[in-house]
Amino acid sequence: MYIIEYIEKKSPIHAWDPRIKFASLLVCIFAAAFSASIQNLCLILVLSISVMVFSKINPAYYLKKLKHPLYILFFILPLLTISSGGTVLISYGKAAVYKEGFYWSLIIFLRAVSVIGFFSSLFFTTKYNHIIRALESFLIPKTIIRIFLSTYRFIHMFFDYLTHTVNAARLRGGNIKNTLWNFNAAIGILTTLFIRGIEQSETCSASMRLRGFDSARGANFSETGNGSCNTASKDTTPVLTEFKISVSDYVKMLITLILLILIFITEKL
Amino acid sequence: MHISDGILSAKICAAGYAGAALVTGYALKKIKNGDIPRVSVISAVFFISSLLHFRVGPSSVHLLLLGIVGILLGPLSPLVFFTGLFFQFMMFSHGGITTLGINTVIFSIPSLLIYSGNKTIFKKTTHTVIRSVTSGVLTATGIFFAAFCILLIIYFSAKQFIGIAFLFSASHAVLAVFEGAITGLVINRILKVKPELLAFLC
Repeated sequence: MYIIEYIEKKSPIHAWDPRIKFASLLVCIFAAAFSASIQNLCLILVLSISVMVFSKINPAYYLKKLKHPLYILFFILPLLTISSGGTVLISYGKAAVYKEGFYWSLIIFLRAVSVIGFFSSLFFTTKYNHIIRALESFLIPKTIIRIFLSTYRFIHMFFDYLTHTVNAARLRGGNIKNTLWNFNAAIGILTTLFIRGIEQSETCSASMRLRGFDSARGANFSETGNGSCNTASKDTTPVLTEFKISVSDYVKMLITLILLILIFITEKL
Repeated sequence: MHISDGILSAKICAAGYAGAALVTGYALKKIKNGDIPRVSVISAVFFISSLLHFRVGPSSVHLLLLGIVGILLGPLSPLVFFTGLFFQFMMFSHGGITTLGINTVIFSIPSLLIYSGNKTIFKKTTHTVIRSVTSGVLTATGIFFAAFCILLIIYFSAKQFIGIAFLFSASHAVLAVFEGAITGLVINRILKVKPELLAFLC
């Protein structure tokens, strides 16, 4: 298993300012998640596919992202068609497929695919640290931003550690098809992960304090507009690069929002 | 345990985000600068552990870790769940972004209750087995409670999914027993190997 990350390309979506991109695509995601009209959702899906096309990323990556949600929907949606109740479409004995269940299954499917399409476009065209730093513009507390950035780093570290641990267990005769072995393995792996993780965090915390990252003592850094660092008494996250918004970013945002508005207007007409 | 995008109504999602703001706000009040690496590490472990699927008979299970995170971090656990769930959606499209708030609340409230229960028991007894068994039982109860909350949320938001919600809750009843056992045994090992990790509970 590997984690698919940012894919470097030259496209209008890659060039979009991360903050404007995040805001615009978030509006599209909310529009897709709460729309109850099949016509609207089909048009939003077309918009989602257009964003994917403009990102110039291989569709195989998007299909990989859809694999897990589609797997879950594959089980849930047929159950929904037979359990929702309402107008019967087809019946066989006591079992029946209901019109409302079929309608909602289609709605859920379109919503899920559209939302994942938009979010994947954001995700594949923007680096993680840029996405997380863009969140600062949305009034997310700085402590949470710091936690996100640190967590991102630790995820890769523990993922490698876990892979080595599981491989080592298998090389020493661990039988992954044995339930009891799995139970014992789960306890061992989890205990080690948590203990090792907390010990690592204590080392990290001590090293941060030694390097002056302690807002209680009022020593911290802030960045001026031209990119240089100054010491300041205010508690800010050190930043090495600044986002720069251009006219094209606003144009892309306006196009996206106008298209969304038109989709909802066409439903009214 | 995660509710995906597109299932809940806008009002419930908004209420979820309001609830998430309350629980994470409470956690942010309690957090100190030195706690940030610990919360980050536990969030990463929460994320990685939820990717572990264990074969149980013909099927497989993935752990929720409500209990262990609640016991290890106490009032800071909402930050772990918010971060972990955000990364799960970002990296694996597991869960949802519109339902991030409600999912955070579903994980955080049982976790905080598990922490309170464990704190009470840890102060009353020093016996390792009793502490471990209590952790396991409280975790199983917490997961039952979380599954019941999901049932209620889906009932009030999307009645057409109530049949599936019952099935979902029933499957989590099995998971609750499994995870309660694992939590109890993990806490037992931590108490034997590194008891100072849980010293703040006493």
